[in-house]
Amino acid sequence: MHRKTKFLLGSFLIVASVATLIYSAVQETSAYFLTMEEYAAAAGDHDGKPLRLAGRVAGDSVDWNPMSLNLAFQMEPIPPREGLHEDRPVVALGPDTVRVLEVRYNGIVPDMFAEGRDVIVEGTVANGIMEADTLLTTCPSKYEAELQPDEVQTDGVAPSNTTL
Amino acid sequence: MTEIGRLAVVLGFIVAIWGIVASIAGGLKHSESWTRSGRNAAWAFTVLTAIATGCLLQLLFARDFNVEYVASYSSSTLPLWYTFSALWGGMKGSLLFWTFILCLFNGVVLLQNRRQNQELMPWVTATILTTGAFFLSLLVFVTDPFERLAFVPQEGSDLNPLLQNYWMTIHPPALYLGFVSTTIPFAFAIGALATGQLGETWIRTTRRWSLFSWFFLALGNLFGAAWAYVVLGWGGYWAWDPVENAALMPWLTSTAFLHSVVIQEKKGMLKVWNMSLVILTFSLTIFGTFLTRSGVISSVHSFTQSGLGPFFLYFLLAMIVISVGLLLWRLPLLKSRNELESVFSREAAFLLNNLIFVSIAFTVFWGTMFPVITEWVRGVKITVGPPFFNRVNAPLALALVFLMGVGPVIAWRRATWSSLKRSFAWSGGFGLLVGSLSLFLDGGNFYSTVAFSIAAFALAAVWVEFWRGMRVRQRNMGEKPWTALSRLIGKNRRRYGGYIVHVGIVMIFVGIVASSIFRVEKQEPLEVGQELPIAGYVLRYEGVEDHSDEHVEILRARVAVFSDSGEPLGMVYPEKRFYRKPEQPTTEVSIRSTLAEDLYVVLASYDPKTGLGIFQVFVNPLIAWMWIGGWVLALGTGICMWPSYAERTALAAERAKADGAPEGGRSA
Repeated sequence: MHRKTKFLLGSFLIVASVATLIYSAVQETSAYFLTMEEYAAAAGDHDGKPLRLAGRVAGDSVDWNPMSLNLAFQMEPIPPREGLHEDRPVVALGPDTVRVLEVRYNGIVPDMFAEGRDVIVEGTVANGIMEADTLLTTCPSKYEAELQPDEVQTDGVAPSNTTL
Repeated sequence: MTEIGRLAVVLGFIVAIWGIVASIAGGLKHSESWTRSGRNAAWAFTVLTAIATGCLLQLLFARDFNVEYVASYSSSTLPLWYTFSALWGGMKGSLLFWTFILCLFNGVVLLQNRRQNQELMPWVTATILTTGAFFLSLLVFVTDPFERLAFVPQEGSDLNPLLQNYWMTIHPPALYLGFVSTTIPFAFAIGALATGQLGETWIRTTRRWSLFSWFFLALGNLFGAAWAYVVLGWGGYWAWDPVENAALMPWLTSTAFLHSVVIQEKKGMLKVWNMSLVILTFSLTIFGTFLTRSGVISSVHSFTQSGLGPFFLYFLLAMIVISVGLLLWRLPLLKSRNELESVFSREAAFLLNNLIFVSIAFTVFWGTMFPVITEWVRGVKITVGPPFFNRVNAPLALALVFLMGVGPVIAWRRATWSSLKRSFAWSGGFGLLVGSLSLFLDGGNFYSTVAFSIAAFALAAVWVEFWRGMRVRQRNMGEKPWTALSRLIGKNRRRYGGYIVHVGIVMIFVGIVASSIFRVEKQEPLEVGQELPIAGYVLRYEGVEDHSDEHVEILRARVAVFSDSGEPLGMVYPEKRFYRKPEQPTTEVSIRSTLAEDLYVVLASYDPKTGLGIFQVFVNPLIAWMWIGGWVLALGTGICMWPSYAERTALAAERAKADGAPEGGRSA
């Protein structure tokens, strides 16, 4: 066999095996990434499949047992025009669509977890309950410093330590 | 101060634009006066950007909360040291900081090339200034770091507490140094393509720059990993988060380049490939900056979501089109001088190494962009998590470490069977020995056995190289062992420095393998006085102390550590903190680190009424070797970068040849 052919063939084999690796890993590890609206719009469709869901922790829904490390809470859609996915179209939901999903999780709860916070959970849904194995909190508004009106000193006098 | 800063940014942008125009005119017309004007503009750009950065720093230190940026990222109680890091703690500041580093590098390049590379310099300047002008244009037209508020807040919102950590003060600068310095080899590559001076000069000139950016990318990633490990409290150091991936990709392609460039220098091959890698590395750094600023992909690193994304994308696209266009135009001049002769040769090993590095970079890219790609193609976001990256990259990383054992030892051009046997008898034997030992010790874990034997094989190859070189000097020159060793390294700094880098990488590899496969984890609620046994340790929870101050509320748990047999090993103090401004709880991990393993203790939550503490405890084997490997890598890079007399004279001679070419050479 010609040398060049050999090298081409070798490179092709390597590229092909990397591609196969990527393909099979995608097949086995990928999960749908949905917002709560998207999930609610087609709730039954995703049962039993790995899911990554972005939503908000509903008020008064958190049940946390520190001894067993069991956490349960209701997740609801994040109101449009704020939060995680500003760019995504809002899915119109029928009036009788169930919008909340019960999430169960066992383990350490992240520092930032609280009612009204935006979270991402990963796991599978069965019988209308999400068994999550990962719970991530995101908190865009806190990272992006917001100057609250109540901190504003309105008389316009600069503090003494400023220079201009 | 804001007026001066703003003025400096605007003027900096204008002179940068002028510098681009003048330099390109100078390059095209071979006009000394245009080129000089471009050079002066480049100096002005450097000075003005430095002034703007100085202004922002001054405002931060003066705590002028009337300035929006200062109010958003600092406070009157923020320690001085972290006030520095507020400079890059927010997006506007980080863009200015990016440009500041570029302006410093620009100054160094101008100084280094006062009398050399005269043909290339106008193009180099134009490329650097294009990048600089782009970043300044964002500050001029889109987000103004010197913006004032309509009111004066009494207090700033403070720097995110997660960023108030020493690793976080050095991680971003290290990464930025790495990111920004990829511009310099890229600029010289553009210069070489534009002028058609595609010899080895541009490669030799930028050799240190490539190594520099590679080194700081490596450091930046390691510091980031250390920060995640020490601060985030989940027991790991790498999560394949998009932002981490963004910093990893250019490092991968830059590593590939450092290897393949050796082939070009020695054999005159792979010229197009090397050019492509330089372009790719630069593009990936811009892409990384884009990823972290655009909010295209959700990440735990919540940089501000902003409208900057499209600008980065257009800039990136323009740079790729220009550079690839130039590359295609010059394709006929980039012919290889040699061809590969055998699959069993050092050239082939290097080629394979490059293929694998690029494959890993592609995998990381694909996994990171997968949600975006699937949304385009199928209208649904599908994500892949850490298991995807680990599954694809683990075998590729094994192959790389294996090649690390092959590359340095195998013969150039064509290895014969007998030379292969001679070369690999020792290292292969050592690999098998360690493999069987580890099989015996780890209870038959397949992956760790393979990984450790390959690591041993690679280490032994380096050892054999040093040993042989030393013996030859001892025999031929009659030198003592230590003299022989130090002279061996001194005479071939790049080669032996590179081997030391290999040792560092193997250490990091071993740390990663051991801590991913053999980590032990427990989460348990403990009452005061209760004990928790884990992997050879017993932990006793002795209560919580209050260490609060005006800046932060601190609850510190006292946990006594004992060995299995009851021998006391000291205390660990994991903390729970509540920053007052912005109100945010954080976890302060306590780590008891030894060369064998880390005991990593987190106080996950605490109930003040009952005293109940919930603890999360990890035992991470061999993880200290990751950080030690990082130091070894730094040592090796230092040896590579150290200037050597022989190299300088060779380079000077080569440049004299290139610059001294008759005038006719220009028009040819």
